[in-house]
Amino acid sequence: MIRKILFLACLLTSSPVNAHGPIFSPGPETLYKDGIETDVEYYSSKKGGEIENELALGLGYGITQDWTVSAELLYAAIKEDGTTNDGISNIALETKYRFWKRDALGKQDSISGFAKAILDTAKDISNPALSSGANDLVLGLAYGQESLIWQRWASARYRFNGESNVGIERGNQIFADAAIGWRAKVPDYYNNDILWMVELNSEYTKSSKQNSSKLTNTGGTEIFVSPGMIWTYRNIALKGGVQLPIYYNLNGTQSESDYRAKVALDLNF
Amino acid sequence: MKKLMLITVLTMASNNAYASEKEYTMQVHGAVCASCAYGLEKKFKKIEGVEKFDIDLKSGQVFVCAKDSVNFTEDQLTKLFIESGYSYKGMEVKENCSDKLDDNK
Repeated sequence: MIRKILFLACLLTSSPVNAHGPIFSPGPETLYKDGIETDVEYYSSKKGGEIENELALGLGYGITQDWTVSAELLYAAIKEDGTTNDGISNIALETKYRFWKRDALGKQDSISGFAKAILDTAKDISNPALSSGANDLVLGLAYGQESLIWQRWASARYRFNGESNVGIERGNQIFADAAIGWRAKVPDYYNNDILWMVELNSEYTKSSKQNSSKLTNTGGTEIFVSPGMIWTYRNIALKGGVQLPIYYNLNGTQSESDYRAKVALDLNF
Repeated sequence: MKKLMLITVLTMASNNAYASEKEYTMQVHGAVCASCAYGLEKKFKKIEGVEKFDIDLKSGQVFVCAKDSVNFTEDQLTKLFIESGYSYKGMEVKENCSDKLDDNK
C-alpha cells in the first residue's frame, strides 16, 4: 500500500496542453486566445511488480495568448503483486502563464510559469489504490527555444505531496528536465511534420514519513533518457515516447522503474 | 461588331471577377511549426470574406486571399497576430490571388 501511494506520485506531472512541446516534461507553449485543445493520452509504466496503465482526457482553453487553463481526468488500471484495481482516478487542474517571449524570423524563445493542482477526487482506499489519498500541488518553470529545425527545452518543477489518507507524509519531489528536438526539413503548413526528440528527465523524491519517522524504503533519485516523436498535421498532433532509466539511487530496497511510455493525440480547435 | 462587343463584355466581366479578390502577404515573426500556426488560420478564416490561407514558415510570410470587401488595418492585424501568439511585421496587398493559394487551402 505504501509503495503504491508513493508510486502514484510520479503520475500527472506532465501537461495536457503540450501539443508541440516535450512529451514527458512541460514546455512553455500556451494556446492562442480562445483556442481549445483536447487531448487523449495513454500512459503505461512498470516498476518492479507494479504495472500501471492509464487513459487521460485533457481539455485546455486559451484565456489569452499567454494564459492557458486546463483540466485532466484519468482512468487508471493498476496491478501490484498480482492484485488489480481500475477506475476513475484523480482530476488535475492547471494554469500556465507565458511571461516572456521573444519572436524572430523562424524562431521563438519563451518562458512560462505554471501551477498544477492534483485533487484527490478518486478517494480510493482499496489496495492497490487508484489515488494517493491527498491533494498535491506542482509549481514550475519551463523555457523553450523553438526554431524551424532545432528545438530546445528545459524545465524545473517542485511537487508538494500532501499527506495520504493513511497518515503518510509523502516526500516532496523535484523534477529537472532538458529536451532537444529536430526535424529533417522546414515544415510545410499543408503537409505532415515529424519532429524527433530526446529528453533527459531527473526526479528526486524526499523520504516519506509516518508518525514523524522516515520510511526506509522511500525517496531517492531516478534519471531517464526519453526518446520520442511528434507527428503533426495542422491542428492534429500524435506524439509518443518511452522513458528508459539510466541512473537510480533509491533509498532502502525499492524497485527501480523499468520503463514508462506515453502516446497522446491532441486536437486543436 | 457584335462579336467584338461580346468579347469586350466578357473580358470586363472576367477582370471584375479577378479584381474582386485581394491577396495580402504579411510578415510574421515567431511562427516555427505548422501546428502552432493553426491559430492564425482559424482567426483569419473567422473573418467574413477571407477565403484562403497559407503560411511559408521559412520566409515568415502569411498569405491570405480575401474578397475585395475585406480591408485589413495595421491595428487589426497587429491584434490578430498577437492573439495568435506571434509578432506582426507588416503587409503588402495586391489585386488578385496567386496560384499558390489554390482552392483546397
